[in-house]
Amino acid sequence: MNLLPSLVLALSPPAWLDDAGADHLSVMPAVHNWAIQRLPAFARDMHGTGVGHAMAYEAMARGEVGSLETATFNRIDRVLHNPPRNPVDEASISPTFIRQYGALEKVFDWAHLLHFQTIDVLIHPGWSQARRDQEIEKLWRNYQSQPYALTGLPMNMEFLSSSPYDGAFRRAYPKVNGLFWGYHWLQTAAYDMLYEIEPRDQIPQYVVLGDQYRRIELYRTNRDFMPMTAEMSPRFSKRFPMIANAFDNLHMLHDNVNDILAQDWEKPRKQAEVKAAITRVLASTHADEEPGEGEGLHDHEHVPSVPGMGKMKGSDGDIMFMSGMGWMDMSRCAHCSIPLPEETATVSANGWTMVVRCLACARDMAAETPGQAIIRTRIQGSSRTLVMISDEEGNWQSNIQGVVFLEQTGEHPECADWSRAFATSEGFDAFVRENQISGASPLSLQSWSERNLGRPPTYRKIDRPNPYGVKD
Amino acid sequence: MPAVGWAQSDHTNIESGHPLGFDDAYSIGYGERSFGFSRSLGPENDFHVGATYGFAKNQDFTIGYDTKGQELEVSYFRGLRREIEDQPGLAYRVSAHVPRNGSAIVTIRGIGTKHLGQYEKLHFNVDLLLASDVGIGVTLGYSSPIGLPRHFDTQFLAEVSGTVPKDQRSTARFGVGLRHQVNPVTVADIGIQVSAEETRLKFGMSVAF
Amino acid sequence: MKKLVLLILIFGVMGVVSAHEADCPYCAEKIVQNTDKQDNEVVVKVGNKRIEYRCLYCVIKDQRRYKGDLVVYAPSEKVGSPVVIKRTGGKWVGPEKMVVLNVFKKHTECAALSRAFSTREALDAYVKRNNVQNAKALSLKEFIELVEKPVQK
Repeated sequence: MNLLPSLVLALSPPAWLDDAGADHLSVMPAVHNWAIQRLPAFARDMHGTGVGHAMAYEAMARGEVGSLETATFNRIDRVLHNPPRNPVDEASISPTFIRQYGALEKVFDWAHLLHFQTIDVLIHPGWSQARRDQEIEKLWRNYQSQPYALTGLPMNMEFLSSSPYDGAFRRAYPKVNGLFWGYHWLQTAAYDMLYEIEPRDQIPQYVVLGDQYRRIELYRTNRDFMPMTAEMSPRFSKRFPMIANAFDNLHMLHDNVNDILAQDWEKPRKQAEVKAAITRVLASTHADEEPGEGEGLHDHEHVPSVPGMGKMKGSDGDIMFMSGMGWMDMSRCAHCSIPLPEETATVSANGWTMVVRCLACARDMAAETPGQAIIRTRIQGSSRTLVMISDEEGNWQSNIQGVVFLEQTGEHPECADWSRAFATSEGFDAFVRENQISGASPLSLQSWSERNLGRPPTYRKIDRPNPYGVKD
Repeated sequence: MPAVGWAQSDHTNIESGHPLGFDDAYSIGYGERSFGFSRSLGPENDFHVGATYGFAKNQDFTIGYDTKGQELEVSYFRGLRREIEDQPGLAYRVSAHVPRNGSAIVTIRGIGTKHLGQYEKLHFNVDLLLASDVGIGVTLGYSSPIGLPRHFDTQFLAEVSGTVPKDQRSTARFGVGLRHQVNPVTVADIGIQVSAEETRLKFGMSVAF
Repeated sequence: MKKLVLLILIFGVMGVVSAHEADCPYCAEKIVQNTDKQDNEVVVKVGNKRIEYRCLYCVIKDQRRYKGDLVVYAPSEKVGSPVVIKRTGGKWVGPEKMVVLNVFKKHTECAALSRAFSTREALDAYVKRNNVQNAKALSLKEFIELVEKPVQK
């Protein structure tokens, strides 16, 4: 597919792109603002991503691309190892870039602000989930009220990454591109760490995710594609698909801009291409359009079971290629390949997050993956989401003391019935009695951890070549 | 130049009085509300409080009170353009100082901000005082981040200013100061201003809410 | 109940095999899947985890990430009969007659050229069948010492 140049010509950039005003916007006043600081390690890493973006852009704007993989990378890396306590003013770190691409900074900053405020809502203590959801909806409306807003519609990622210059940046500057995708990994993985999870259960998860981010994700240079929000945070994306889409569109804009700035073009051409890239993903460009309609740039088709993710390269219905995992059917359990029920669990390990049908699937999938893992699921008898964290050797800890498990092993098409967790043994007893399950006894966390059902006979591997052609 | 949405009260967004006498060419963010105070210690001590509201893009409104002259102050700030390529950012501020006993002084300030090198900035302020003693004031301000590329929370400021009140001798003043981001919503500032008549120590704080 | 017993039996046998094809945690190359004629997946059992590696060399190189005891199911010359070696209290032990081949130059070849065999004869047969150059039969102790030398790949 190579349709971008002709379609770009058909788009007329909005007039505000040439506005001379600084047009600074503030966060929407709210009690939850900067709640992120309550998770200091996470906050610092998030603030560090701003420094990383800004330093790379400043180097590119100043024509210092030759130093990107060396001096600039080292400068950024130093900051990422000792990130700032407070949010940073990206413009003060990248003044040359801002003077050249001021409109782009308006788009980036407005979306970054949405990032921060939605995170704040999810961390702010004392609110019910319904209240948080309402507040996030309000933030979204506030975000959409400005012309700099990106569309919340799913965008065809294959289309957006089909320009002749696509991939130039990651080929020429793999280490710095790895940092960018590492930041985007953190920004997208954070949502399921926070969503529907009480603030007291958020910090232990960031011990795992922060370590993964700082040790592995920042330095990965073998990703096939940027991390997608619905891949990293499926639970949040299911509830707020428009926000997941907007973040993916933002991150794709970052990629497009990087590819443009990596070109050996005169500045006016780069500036024109950047404006075209902005225009492609603005909400105003796609006003009154609907998911699943249109073609090309206006093709808002999404993976059917994932409305918060635009169509990916090579995707075919619910089947799509996930970097690091291969081909997956997003409508089915990642472990046993049986269609997903309404209530699911997720398992996060080794940088990915997968949706599974039951806790046995989650545990066994984690058991075959190196490193620590996190399982999240709603459970009966508690308004608190169950969050379990395992060490390197698969020993699990739970945020709910006294959690017990039913694992009355049967066939996988029914695994969501025979593998369950309960906040209390009374809840277990009531469920067993109500459903007339004979011979079931509650498993403690330790007994449950030691079990392993191995490869589900129902698992079906989807064997297709990597559509990105990076690895075989 | 403050970025959208990062620190609400931003140490890089320079406001007159915090701690020196010059402005940069940028308003506070649209929708931002901030409260500030500054204490000035010299031959006569002074305390100033003020609240600013970014009521529109590139525009803010401030209302304050100054104990020294028992003055009520109101000001309107308008950013005209940001720095683009080699062109400076431009803005103006119209202020009215209304003393409890006496007539109001209106000041119209023209403001230009331009980078000097990669990070340092010059800020050129020209004041036209409209009062019984109409005069002109000129301030050349300088700002530069301290600690880059490892630290991102402190600005160094300096100024040289001269005022030419009508029918009086001109006065010159020199000042240096710091603005430091304490947390996402708070900036602390400290500075010293020296003129032939007095030396003034200044410190203050701005908090967004 | 019969079905349950049957399932447990099946799972017991297959318990060391991963459901998902992943990259080797150490060398990041694809793990070569078992075939009807030859097993290839090296499985490390540690605590409640069963982690697949591409070859025995990768396991030894990556062993320090695990604090507990390890059981390694290394594919042998015979399908379904892995050579089982254990690290208990930090000490490695394997079957008395086992030998190891370890002659790969790049990790793209490690699955074929870093392998365990139940006997010296089995290694010789494999070397001959696959025309392996510079082959040498190493004891488990020699192999581990070789791999842990810092100059080794």
